[in-house]
Amino acid sequence: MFSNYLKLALRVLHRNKFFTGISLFVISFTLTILMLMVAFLHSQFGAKNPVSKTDDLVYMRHLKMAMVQNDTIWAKDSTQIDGIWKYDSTFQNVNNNKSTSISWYGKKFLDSYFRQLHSAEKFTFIVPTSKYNVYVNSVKIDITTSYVDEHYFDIFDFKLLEGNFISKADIDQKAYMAVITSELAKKYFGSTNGIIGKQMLVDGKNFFVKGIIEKAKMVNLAINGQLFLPSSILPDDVYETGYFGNYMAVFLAKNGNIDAVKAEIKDIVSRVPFLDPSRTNGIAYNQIEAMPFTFQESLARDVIYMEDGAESLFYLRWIVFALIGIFILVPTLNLINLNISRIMDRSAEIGVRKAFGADSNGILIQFIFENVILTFIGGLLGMIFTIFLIRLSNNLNLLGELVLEFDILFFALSFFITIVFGVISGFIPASKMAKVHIVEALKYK
Amino acid sequence: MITLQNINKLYRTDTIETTALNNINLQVDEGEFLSIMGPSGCGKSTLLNIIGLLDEPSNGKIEIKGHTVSNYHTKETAKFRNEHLGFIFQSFHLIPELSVMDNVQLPLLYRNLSQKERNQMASVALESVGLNNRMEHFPSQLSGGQKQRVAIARAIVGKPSIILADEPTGNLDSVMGNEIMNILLQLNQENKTTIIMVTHDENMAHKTHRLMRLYDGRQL
Repeated sequence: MFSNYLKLALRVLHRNKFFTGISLFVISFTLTILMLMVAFLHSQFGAKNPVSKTDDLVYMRHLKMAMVQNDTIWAKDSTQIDGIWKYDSTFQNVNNNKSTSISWYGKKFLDSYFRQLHSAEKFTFIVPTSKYNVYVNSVKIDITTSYVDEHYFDIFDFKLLEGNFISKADIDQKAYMAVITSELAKKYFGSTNGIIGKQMLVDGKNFFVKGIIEKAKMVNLAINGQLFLPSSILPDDVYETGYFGNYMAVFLAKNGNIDAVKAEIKDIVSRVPFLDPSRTNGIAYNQIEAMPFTFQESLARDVIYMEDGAESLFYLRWIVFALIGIFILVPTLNLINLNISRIMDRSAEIGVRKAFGADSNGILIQFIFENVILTFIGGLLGMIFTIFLIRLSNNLNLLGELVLEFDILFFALSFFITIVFGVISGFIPASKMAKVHIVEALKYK
Repeated sequence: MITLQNINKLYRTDTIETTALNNINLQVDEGEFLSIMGPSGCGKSTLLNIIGLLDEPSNGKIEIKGHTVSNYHTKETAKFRNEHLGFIFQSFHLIPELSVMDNVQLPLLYRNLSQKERNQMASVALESVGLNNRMEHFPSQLSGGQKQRVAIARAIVGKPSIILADEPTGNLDSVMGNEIMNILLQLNQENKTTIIMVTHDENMAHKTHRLMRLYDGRQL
């Protein structure tokens, strides 16, 4: 019976070329958008090298210091009681936030308070995204540099292609060693072969190439460097003003308990003494707040900036769900509409089938099956478009460092979306028509 | 074979009640060829639809082959139609996207039969209407008479004991109409198939065993 349905479905689609064209466009366009969204979310938020422990990481990117002063607001009121004026007054204490500063962490601040977290298995302090320009054969190359410590490559599991990572000895000896991405190696040396031990001139200093790694394929400040140098070569007080500086910290939670890490960070910060105003340009900061976020909260905050990263993630998730919902709902409604008129055209066929023994369920299954075939073809087209657009985006770096990926999970999810799309957009018109009375159905010619 | 007792059919709207069939009583014997005649709107097709279980009477009792089918549920009715009844329509109602072979097989799709069995039965049916050389054609490639022959093959493929034909020659010229009538007469004589036919054509009606006339929903 299904081979008969399939034969019929393909011929119906072939006969109604206009309808088929519009339907396939709607389905493939919608699925392309959905699949690109899924690919984006999967590539950006999914766990993979060098962030395979996404759920166990706590980022400390910014420190917030505020000077809060209390004001008292007085209000007077008067009224006449028995012809005599009476006066009353009320007051209210309010916190007037006079000055707030948010910046990266200073190295000394991190060293003093965050080297001994009980809840963290590992930690790394990083100076991310310093930009240097170098010239190779008169061609300018922009190099994004990160200064890292010996724990960095334990937490971020970059794929090592050749050589070694930066070690504790490199840090201790303030060695001029560099780990570079294969992409930078090709730009700087023209090849990735035989360059371990070669020198690179960056910022007026010579660095020996110690290791070659595969670049991170997602957008994230902590991992988007092309050149990784030991942070110990930086002067201790570089750019530091009070507790501020240009470091960030990343912690790997013990047993994945990120809440414990967040709580411990907040507890430590609550006990940090306030700085003397002479060290902070005369501002008497009396509130300090560390802002520890999970990997996903940290990314969400880059998209929707809110004080609380959890709130950013909450809103971002709802926006994504709403967009996915709209992208499914609008074309589904259109397809339902198209399907109603298409199925109406086949009323006589429904009448004949019923007359010869089909029941309403049989008719329902037939039309849903046809719609699933249509959406399946649309889904295949959508996948072809998606693969094309993903390759285009990756080849032209349309999304910066983010490399979109196409994997099994992604395929499975796309097929699932396709089938759901087909069933939903076919069910309503099919069930409506399956209930049509035979005599009424047969009146259509 | 078929017994109708006190069949009434009323159509109601908010303001008007129309009587399509008024107290019809009918007995059709096995192997009988009955024609129903009457002016347009007298209830011929409504009566045929009720006998064919495509429509329900407002009241009355229908018995076919000893079964009181007027009490059947939708699924039972569908199964009964599939096994015992065949339909021929004035406008053929072939499915344009399906080949002649697939159109004829349609009633067999709702039986538990293999593709091979379906092919065999459809071939036999097409051969009996002289269209075994048109199996892979599509309805758009056939003449009106050929389309109606395909419709007859579809009606008989499941070997039903009753065929209900609603003006089967109404859309055909006299030559093709006679061809179709001859096939129906042959089916009736050779296979003893009971046939009830609605027609406007006196000549066709007089070729059948019995003629029933309707006027304003009443038997004359």
